[in-house]
Amino acid sequence: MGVFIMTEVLKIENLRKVYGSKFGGVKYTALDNINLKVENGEFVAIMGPSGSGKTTFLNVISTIDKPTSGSVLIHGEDITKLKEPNLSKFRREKLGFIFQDFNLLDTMTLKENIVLPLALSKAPYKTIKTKLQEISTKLGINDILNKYPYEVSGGQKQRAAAARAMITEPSMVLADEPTGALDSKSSKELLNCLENLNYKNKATIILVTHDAFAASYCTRIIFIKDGKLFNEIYKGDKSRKDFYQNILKILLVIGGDTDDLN
Amino acid sequence: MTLISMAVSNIKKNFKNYWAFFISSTFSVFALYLFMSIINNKDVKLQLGDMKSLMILFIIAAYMIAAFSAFFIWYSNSFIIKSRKKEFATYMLLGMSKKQTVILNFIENLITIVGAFCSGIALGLIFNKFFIMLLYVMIRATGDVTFQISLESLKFCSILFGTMFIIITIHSSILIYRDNLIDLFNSSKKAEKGLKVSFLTLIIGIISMVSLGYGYYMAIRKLSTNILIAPIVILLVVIGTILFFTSFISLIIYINKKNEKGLFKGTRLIYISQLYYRYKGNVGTLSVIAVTTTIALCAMIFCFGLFNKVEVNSRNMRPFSVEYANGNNTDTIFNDTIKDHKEISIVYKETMEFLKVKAKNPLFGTNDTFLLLNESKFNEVNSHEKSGVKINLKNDRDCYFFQIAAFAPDKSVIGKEVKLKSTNKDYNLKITDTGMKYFMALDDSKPTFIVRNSVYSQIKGTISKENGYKVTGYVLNNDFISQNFIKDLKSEIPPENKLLTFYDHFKDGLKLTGMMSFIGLFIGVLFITATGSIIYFKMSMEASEDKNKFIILRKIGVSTPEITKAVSKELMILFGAPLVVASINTFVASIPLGKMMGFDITKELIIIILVYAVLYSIYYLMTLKSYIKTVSS
Repeated sequence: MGVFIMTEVLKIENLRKVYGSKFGGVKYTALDNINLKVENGEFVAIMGPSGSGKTTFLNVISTIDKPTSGSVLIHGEDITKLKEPNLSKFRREKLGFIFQDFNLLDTMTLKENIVLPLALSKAPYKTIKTKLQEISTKLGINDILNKYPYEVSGGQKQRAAAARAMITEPSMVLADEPTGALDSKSSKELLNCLENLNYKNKATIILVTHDAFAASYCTRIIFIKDGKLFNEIYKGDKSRKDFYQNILKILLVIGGDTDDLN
Repeated sequence: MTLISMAVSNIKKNFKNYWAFFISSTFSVFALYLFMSIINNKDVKLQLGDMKSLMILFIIAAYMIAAFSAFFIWYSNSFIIKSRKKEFATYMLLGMSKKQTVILNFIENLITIVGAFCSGIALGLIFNKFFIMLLYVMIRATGDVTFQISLESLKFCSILFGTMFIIITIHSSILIYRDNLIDLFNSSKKAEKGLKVSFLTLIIGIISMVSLGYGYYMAIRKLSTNILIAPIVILLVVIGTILFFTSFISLIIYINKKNEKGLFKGTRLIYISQLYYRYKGNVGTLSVIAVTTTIALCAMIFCFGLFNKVEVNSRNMRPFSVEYANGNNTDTIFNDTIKDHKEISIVYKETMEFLKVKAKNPLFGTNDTFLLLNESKFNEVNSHEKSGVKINLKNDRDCYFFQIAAFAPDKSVIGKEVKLKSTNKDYNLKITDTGMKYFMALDDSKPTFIVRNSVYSQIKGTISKENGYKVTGYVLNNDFISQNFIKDLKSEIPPENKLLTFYDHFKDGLKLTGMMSFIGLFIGVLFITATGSIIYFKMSMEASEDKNKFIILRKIGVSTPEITKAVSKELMILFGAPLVVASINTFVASIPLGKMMGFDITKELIIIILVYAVLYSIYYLMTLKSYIKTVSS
C-alpha cells in the first residue's frame, strides 16, 4: 500500500442513529458515535453479529435512511443534507448497490437491467455500449446478456447485479450480503469478480456480510458490536487463509457467526 | 368472525379497487330503470302522439344496455376472481373449506350487486322526473311530468340483475372449486411472460393494416352510394381493429424494445419493458374497448348529428312550407284558412304541372312511370328555394334527370339515352346531367325528367288530362309559428290531396332525433364508465403485482418523478391506443354518415370526440393516481 495516492471516498464523523424517540417509546441506539474513513480503492467488509447495527449503517451510508446526528461525506459531499430528487440522482450516479436477493427486474433482460442506471442518466448510446461491453466481459456474463433473470442461475444474476452496480463507475459499491443467496461455487466466482474489479479498476467496495469466507477477500475488515466500532483488521501481506483464521478469531470474541448459529 | 362480517370488511378494504365497477353497475341499473320507466310512462306516450312507434327505440336501447351490463358484469367478475385467487388460497390455507370460501364470495357478490342495484334504482327514482323533463326538452314537448314509480321496470331490472348475480356466483364458484390450493397461489405468477413476436405477427400486422385501409377506403368511397356493403365494411374495420391490437401494436412495442439506441434513453427503458411484459395480457381488453368505443362514438355522432341538423334536414326534405296536390278546390281552402291566421303570410307560391310519362328506367332498366317538368319552371322553383341548382339544357334532345337515390346520385346515368313513351309518339332524349337535390317534398315524388320548354309543351299537347299532375307549394314567412295554421289546414284539405308541411316533418324529426340523442347520451356515458372501469381495475391489479419492481427501481436510484413519468407514459399508451383507434374509425365513419344524411357533421364529430376524450381522461388520471399511490407505498 501507499504505492499510489490515496483519496478519501467516505468520511463518517460522530454518526449516531437513535430509533424510537419520535413517539416517545423506548429509545434504541442503533449506531453510536461512529467515526470511519474509507480510501479510494479499498475493499472493506463490515462484520458484526445480528442486531449490531450493520444494516442501519449500510442504510445510512446508502442514503436510504437518515442519521440522527453526525455527518456522512462521500467525496466531500455531505449526503445527510441531500434532498429528493438530488438524492435519487446521487444514489444512481455515485453509488452502486448489490443486494442479497439480486433485485433485478424480471421484465428486463440482463443487459437492460445493467444499463438502466446509465440510460436513466441519459448517457450517450455509444458510452453505454462500450461500458456494457467492458463490465460484462470482466464479470463473464457476455453470453447471457439477452436472457431474462428467470432464465439464469443465482450466481449469474448476482454478477449481473454487480455489473449494474459498477457500470456507472460509482464512488463506492455497497454490497449487502451478496453471497447470502448463492451456493459456495457461485459465491467464490462472485467474490473473485469483486476482488478483480477492486484490484484492476480500483473500485471502492463496501461489503456487509456474516460470512467470514466472503470477508476474507477484502483488504480491511471493520467489526461492529452494539452500534459501536469494535475492531478493525487489515489483510496486509497475509494469505487469504491466514486472514480467514484471523477473522474467525475475532468473530469468536464478539460472537458473530457462531452466535447466529444458535 | 362470521363470514358476513368478513365479507363486509373485505368489501370495505377492497373498495378502492371496486368503486369503478360499482359506479358502472349502478349506472347500468339506473339507465335501465329509467328507460323501462319511460317505455311504460303514460305521459310520454301521450306526448309522442302518432309517433308512439318510436318507443321501439327505447326498447332496443334497454335491451342493448341489458346485454352490455351483463357482459360487463361477467367480464369484471372474472377479473376480480382472478386477482383474488391468492387471497382465497390464504383463507383455505388457514383452514377455511372451499365451501366456506364460496359462501364468502357469494356474500360479497350479494352485497356489491344488491348495493349497486339499490343505488341505481334510488337514482332512477330520484332523477326519473328530471330526465323525463330533459327528454321533453329535447323533443320539444310541453307537458307535465308526474312522479311515477314504475313497477314494470323494477321487475325487469330485478330479473336481469338477479339472473346476472346467479350466473356470476356459479361462475366464481366453479373457478374457486376447480383449482387446487397451489394453482390458486400461483395464479397471478403465471401471468405474462413477455411478447412473442414472429414472422406471423408481421403478416397479421400487415393484414390488419390492409383490412383497416380497405375498410376505410370502402367506407369513404363506396358506402354512401351502396349501403348494402355496410356489413362488409363493419366486419373489415372490426377485424382490422382487433388484429391491429393483437399484432400491429405488439410489433411496434417489439421494435421499440429491440432498438437499443432508442430504448436506452431515460425512462423509456422502464415503460417499454413494462409494456413488452404486460401487453399480451391486455390485448383482449384493449381491442374490446376500441371496438365498443367506436360503436359508442359512431352512435352518438349519428344521433347528435341528426338532432342538430333536424331543421336543415327538414328543409331538404320539404323545400316548401306547405305543399299539396292541386285539385278539389284546394287553393280556395288554403286561401280561406290563411285569412283566419293573421300571423302567417305567403312569401312565394308556385304551381308545378307535371306530366306522367312511361319510360325505361335508366338506372334499373325496368319500365316505370316518370314525371316530366319544363326547364324554366324547374329553375324558377330552385332559385326561390335557394337550392343552388340551375340547369341549362343546350338542345331539345337534352334532359336533366332528377333521381331519388338513398344517399348520393348515381352519376353513371349521364350520357344514357332514354325513350319517353307518350300516347302516340316516342321522344328520344339524352341525359346530360343528374342530381337528387329535392325541389319538392319527396314523399309523393317520382324520378323526374326536366326537358326544354318547347319539348315540354309538345308532349303536353299530346297527352290526356289525367296524365297531368299539379302540385302547389308555398313558402311561408315563419314556419315555426305555423303550428295552428297547419292544424286547421290539415282538417280542411282532403287526404287524397296529400298535404305535406315542413313543420310536421320538423316536429316529427325532433321527436325521433331527440329520443335518439337522449338514448345516445346514456349509452355513451355507460360505455365510458364501463370501459374506464375495466382499464382502471386491470391497472390497479397490475400495480399491486408490480409493487416490487418499483421498490427495486427506487433502491437503485430512480426518483419518484421518474417513476411517475414512466407510469404515466405506460398508461397513456394503454389508455390512448383504443381511444385514438376508435376516433380514427369514427372519423372515417362520419364521412359516409355525413354524405348519407346530406350535411357536414364535422363539428359534431369534433365536439363529441373531445367531450368523450375529456371524460375518458378523467379515468386515465384517476388510474394514474391510484397506480402511483399503490407503487409508492
